Amino acid sequence: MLRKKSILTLSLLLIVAIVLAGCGGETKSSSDKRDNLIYVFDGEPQTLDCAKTSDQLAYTVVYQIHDYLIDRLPDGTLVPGLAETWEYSDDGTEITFHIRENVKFHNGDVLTAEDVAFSLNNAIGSSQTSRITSAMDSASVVDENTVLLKLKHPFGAIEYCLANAQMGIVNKKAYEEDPEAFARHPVGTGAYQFKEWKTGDSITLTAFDDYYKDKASIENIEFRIMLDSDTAVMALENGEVDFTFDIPNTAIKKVQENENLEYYVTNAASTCYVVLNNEHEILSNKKVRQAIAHAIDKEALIAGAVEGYGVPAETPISTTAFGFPADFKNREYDVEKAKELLAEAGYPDGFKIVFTATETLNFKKPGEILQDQLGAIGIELDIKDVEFSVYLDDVISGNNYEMAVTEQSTAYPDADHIYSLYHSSMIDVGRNFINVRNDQLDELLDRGRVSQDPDERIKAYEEICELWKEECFTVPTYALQTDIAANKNLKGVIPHSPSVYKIYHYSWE
Amino acid sequence: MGKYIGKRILMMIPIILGISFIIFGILELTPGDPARNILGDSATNESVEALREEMGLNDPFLVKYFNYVKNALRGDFGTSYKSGLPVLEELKGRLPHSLKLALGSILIVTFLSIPVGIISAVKQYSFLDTVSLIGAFLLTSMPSFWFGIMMILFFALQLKILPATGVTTWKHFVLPSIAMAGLGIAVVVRMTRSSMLEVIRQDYIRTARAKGASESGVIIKHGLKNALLPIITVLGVEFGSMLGGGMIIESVFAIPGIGSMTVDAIRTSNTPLVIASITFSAIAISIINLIVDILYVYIDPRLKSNIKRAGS
Repeated sequence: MLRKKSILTLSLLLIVAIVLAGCGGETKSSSDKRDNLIYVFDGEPQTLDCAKTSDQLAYTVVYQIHDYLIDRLPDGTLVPGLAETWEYSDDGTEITFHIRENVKFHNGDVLTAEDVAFSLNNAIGSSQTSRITSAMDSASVVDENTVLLKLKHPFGAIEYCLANAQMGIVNKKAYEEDPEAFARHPVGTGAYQFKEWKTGDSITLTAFDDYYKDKASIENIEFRIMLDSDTAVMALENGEVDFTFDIPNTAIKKVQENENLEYYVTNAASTCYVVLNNEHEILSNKKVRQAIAHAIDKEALIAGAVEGYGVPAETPISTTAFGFPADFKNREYDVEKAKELLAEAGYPDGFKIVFTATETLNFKKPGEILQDQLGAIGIELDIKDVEFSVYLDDVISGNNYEMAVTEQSTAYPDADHIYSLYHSSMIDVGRNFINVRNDQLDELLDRGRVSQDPDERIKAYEEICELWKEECFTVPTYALQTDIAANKNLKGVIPHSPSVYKIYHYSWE
Repeated sequence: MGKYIGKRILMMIPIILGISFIIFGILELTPGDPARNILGDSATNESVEALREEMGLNDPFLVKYFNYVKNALRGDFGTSYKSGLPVLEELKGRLPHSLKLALGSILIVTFLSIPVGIISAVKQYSFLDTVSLIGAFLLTSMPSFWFGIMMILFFALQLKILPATGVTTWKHFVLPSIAMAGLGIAVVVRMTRSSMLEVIRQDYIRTARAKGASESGVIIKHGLKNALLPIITVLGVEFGSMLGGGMIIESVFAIPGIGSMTVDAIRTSNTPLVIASITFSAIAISIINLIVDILYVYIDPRLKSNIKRAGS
C-alpha cells in the first residue's frame, strides 16, 4: 500500500516537473550574440513629430530616427552632424550651414537644403519648442546644399540647441503630405527607421540600411511600455528586457548586486529647489528668504527625500552646464543665523505659510522634511497636498501658491538655461512663475546670453550666483542623479545628464 | 424571448447616456488642465491657452457635452488628447489583451472555485472545508498587486518558469490571470459553499437519495443545478469587473489593456478616453448581466414566464 502511494506521488512529481520544464523553454544563454534591444519606457510618447515632442520618451525615439545639423555624442561633445561645416557672421546673428551630400531619408529621398530649412522653421514655429528656439528667427535656403539660420541676437548656447531632440531634420515631402500621420510614422535620415507603434504596448525601429555612416550594430529596437517601475526592474532581472532608466531608489541595491546587470549613474541635468513666491507678502522680504536659506539642511534633505541619491546644489545653474561655478558656496546651514535674520525681518515668532506639495516626482517628501527644518526657526509649513495636474495649474501656470519645491530640467547644457525661469520678461509669458523681478539679474542674464566671449559669460554667471546668495530668489537644494540599469553584455552605454541615449553607439558583446 | 432581449438592449441607451453625463461632469469638476498636462511644465502660458482653444476646452460644459454626444452618435467618440488617435482605435488595440486576461481569470475562477465550494459544502467542517475557508480568507485579504509581485518573484525570478511581463504568448497571461482571479476565487468558493449547503438540506435531496440515486448524481444533478443561480450571478459580476477593472494587475504585469489605459487617461485628464473606457465597462457589464439573465431560464425554466411578462 505504502509503495503504491509513493510510486503515485513520484510519478505525479515527475509530471509536474516535466510540465514546468516545458514552460521554461524560453530561457536563453546570455552569451548569444543578439540583434535586438528591448528598452523600457515608463509611459508612452504623445507624438513622434519632433517639433511637437515634449517628453523625454519621445526625445529618445526621435533621437534614433532623426539626424541633427550638429550631433551630440554620448559624452556630451558636439560634432558635425548633417551639417559638414558651418560659419558665423561677424555679429554672430547668422549661421551658414553646409549640408552633407548624398544623405538619404528612410523613404529613399535625398536630403536637400529645402528639407533642412523646412525642419528648422517648423521647429521655430512650434509652441512646444520655446525653451530652445527663443533665440532663433528663421531659416532659409541659400543654395542646394546651404542653409542660412538667422538669430534674433547672438546666442552662446545655439549649437547645443540645434542638437536638441526637437530640432530633428525631417522629410519635408512626407511631413507636408500628412502632418498627423507623420507624427505616428516619422521619416528621417537617422540610423534607425520607424517600423511600428502599437499603442499602449511598444514602438519598434529597425536599422536603416542606407545610413550615411556605418549601419547600426543592433538591428532592431523595441521600446516597450511598462508603467510600473518595479515591474520593469523585475523584467530586467528576468532577462525579458535589456535597458531601463530612473530605477526606483529602493531597487538600486538589488540591481547593483545582480551579476547579469550593469548599473550606471551620473548627475542629472536638473536641479531641485525650494520655490519662494517672490510676490508673496512675507516672502518678498529678502531677509525672510535669507533666513529660509540658512534653515535648510541639504544633506538631511537628500537623505530623507531621495534616499541619499542626490548632490547638494549651491546654485540655480545645473552642475552639468557650461558656466557652472564649481567652487561657489551658497549660504550655509545655520539655524541661529536663520533665527536672527527672521527676527530682523520682523518675524521673531515666525509665521505660517502654505506649502503646495504633490506625490509625483519626489515633490512630497521634501515638503515633510522642510516642515520639520523650517519649524525649527518658527516657520510653520501648512502642507497642501494636491494631484500633479493641480500642482501644475496652481504653481506653474496659476501663480496661486506661496511656497513649493520643484525641479528644473535643462534643455541644453549651458547656464543660459536659467534665463527663461528668472528673467523678468518671462513673467508675462508664464515661465518665470517665481515672480523674480530684479534689474541687476536681468542685466546679467542678458549679458550671459548675448556675449560671445566665453570668459565674459562665465563671469556673468558667477555674478549671478553672488546675487543669488544675497537675494535668495529661490533656495537650490540638490541635483538629482539619473541612472540606467542594463544587461551587462550591452556595450557603449554612457549615462548622460540630459538623457540623450543614442542606440547607434551600442552593441552586444 | 427576442422581444425581451431587444427591450433590454434598448434600456442600455439611457444607462450609457447617464453614465457618460456623470463622467463628463466629474471630469469637468476635477482640477487640472488637459492642455497643461499635454504640454508639460516647461510650456508657456500662451501656448497652453492656444492649445485649450484648439481643443475646444474653453466652451461651456453643456456645449462640450452635447458636441460629444452628437459626434458619438455618428460613431466618432473623439480623439485621445494624448496620442491624437481616434478613441475607438485605442480601445480596439487594447481590448484583446484585457479580454484574454479576463477570460483566463474567469476560467480559473469557475473551474477551481465551484468544485472546491461543492466539496466544502458536502464535507462541511472537514479538514478540506477548513483549508478552503483559510484559503478564501487569505485570497480576500491579499492585495492583488502584492499577490502579483510575489508570484513574479517566485515563478519568474526564482523558478524562471513563467515570464513576468508582456503579452506575446499564452504563458504571459498565466501569472496575471491567477493574480486577477484571486479575489474572485474566494468569493465564488464561499458563495458555492453556502448556496450548496442550503440546497442539500432540502427535502427533495433526501427524496432523491431515498430513491437510490448515486451520491454524485444527487450532488451534481439535484444539488448543483438548484444552487447555480446565485453562483452564476456572482460569476457574471466578477467577469464584468475583470474586463474593465484590470488597472492594478495590468500595471504590475505591464499588459497594455483597457485598465492601464484608464489609469493613464484619468491621470492626464484625457476626457474622451476616460469616458470611452468607463462606458465600455458599463456596456460590458450590461451585456454580461443580460447573458446571465438568459442563462437563468436554462437553469430554471420556471423563470421563463417572468421573461415573457417582461417582454410583452
